[in-house]
Amino acid sequence: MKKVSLFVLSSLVLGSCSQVNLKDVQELAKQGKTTTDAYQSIAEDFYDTCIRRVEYEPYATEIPIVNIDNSKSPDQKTSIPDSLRVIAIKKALLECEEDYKITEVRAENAKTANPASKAIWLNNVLGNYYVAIGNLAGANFDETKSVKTLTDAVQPLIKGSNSDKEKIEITAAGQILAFIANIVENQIRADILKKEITSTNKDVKVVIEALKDTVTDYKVQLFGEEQSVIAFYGLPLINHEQKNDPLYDLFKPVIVTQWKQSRALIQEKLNNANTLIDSFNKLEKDNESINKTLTSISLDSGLTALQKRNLNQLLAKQVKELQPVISKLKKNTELLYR
Amino acid sequence: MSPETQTTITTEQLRQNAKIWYSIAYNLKLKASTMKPGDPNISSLNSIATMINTAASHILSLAISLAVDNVNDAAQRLINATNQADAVVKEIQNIDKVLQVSAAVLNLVTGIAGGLATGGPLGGFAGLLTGLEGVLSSVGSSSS
Repeated sequence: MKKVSLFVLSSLVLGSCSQVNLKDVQELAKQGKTTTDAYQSIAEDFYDTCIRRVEYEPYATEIPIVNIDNSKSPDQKTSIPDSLRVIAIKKALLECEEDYKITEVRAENAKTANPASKAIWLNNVLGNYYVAIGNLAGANFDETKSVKTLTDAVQPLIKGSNSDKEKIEITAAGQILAFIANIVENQIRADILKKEITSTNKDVKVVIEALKDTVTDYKVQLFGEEQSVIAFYGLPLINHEQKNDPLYDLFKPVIVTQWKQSRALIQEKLNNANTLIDSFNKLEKDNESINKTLTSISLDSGLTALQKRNLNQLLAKQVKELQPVISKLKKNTELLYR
Repeated sequence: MSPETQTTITTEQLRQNAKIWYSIAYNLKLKASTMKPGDPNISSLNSIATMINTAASHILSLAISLAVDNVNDAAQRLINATNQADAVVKEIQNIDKVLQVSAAVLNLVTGIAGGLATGGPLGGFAGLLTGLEGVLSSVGSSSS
């Protein structure tokens, strides 16, 4: 097995306590994932809001959504008032399907997929990016498990370690190794994270802006739905009121209640869209902030006084006592890796 | 359209257009609602309103498409970065890699321990461990 250069390793350890705050990056990644998850339901509602809007067209609910291409549909009977209306509504439903019905975007349909599907694909790209960044920053990484793995790995390196004292020493040696390996791993994480985040900051911004754009488009879709709702409930009410229709008083409470419910639903969706835009703005700002920090720091800044003191205390406490067992470990490790 | 007369349309302009079309559709329905029952124009106006709404919705889908298609390169770079980060995470998690690192760490620890035990200089490690000098001298003094 190829040996890691000691020079590289010592450089890593010396620079190990860089100012890349992995927890901050983990938080950013979590925020990115939460935001992209919220986008998913809004993008799916592109189709639903389109359908709802069409369903508010007069007589629309009498036309079946299924078989919309079949002119000989058995459901088309005399209840449908005229052909122009039928054609207009069928066309509207078909457009909803073509423009907004979500399909999975793959390499083979990337160019032909509809806009809503492509928007979800773009959102997934951003979501996956944040998951990867989070993992790189150590999210979902079980340090306890890592220590145990390393301690277990050290165990067979000692031959004839039967005494309790030796076993304790081996465990302690494994823990020291895990501690140092953890520093080394964190340095690798920090180093790659700096490279990743600083080189993609502009791209993240561009993608977030595009997704925000599509949320604004969604808000206009909701505006269209609201106009249809007003026409569906409001115009008949005005008419009946103006004509002193005797049924007006009877139907008014029912219609007004349904109208209010529809408006409340649209308002809730508008609020969600605004919240999502705020989340994207915050994400963009925080990504920029982490990028600035990473750009300004040097990963070779060395150990701070506090970090030196901590490392000192740990080494002072354990290293000297463990010298014999570590020598033995070294000897056996060299044999193993020769 | 010749290049001279070609203009660039923005997503914002598309959105504004869609909004205008939705409003026009509503106004047509409003007009239809004021007509006398049985007027054949009612149905026509409502149908045209439906078609205009459909057009507005389609314009919005073009706006989405424009926004998304324009950032394909940036998206591709994010995909590359994601793949790279995933690869590094796998590497870090790989036990073989950890052992490989730990083997070298062993050398380092042994070097420190050896230096402490003899109370002397760190020999071949000295040049490499300059940054740890302060730490080691403190360890030396605290253990003496």
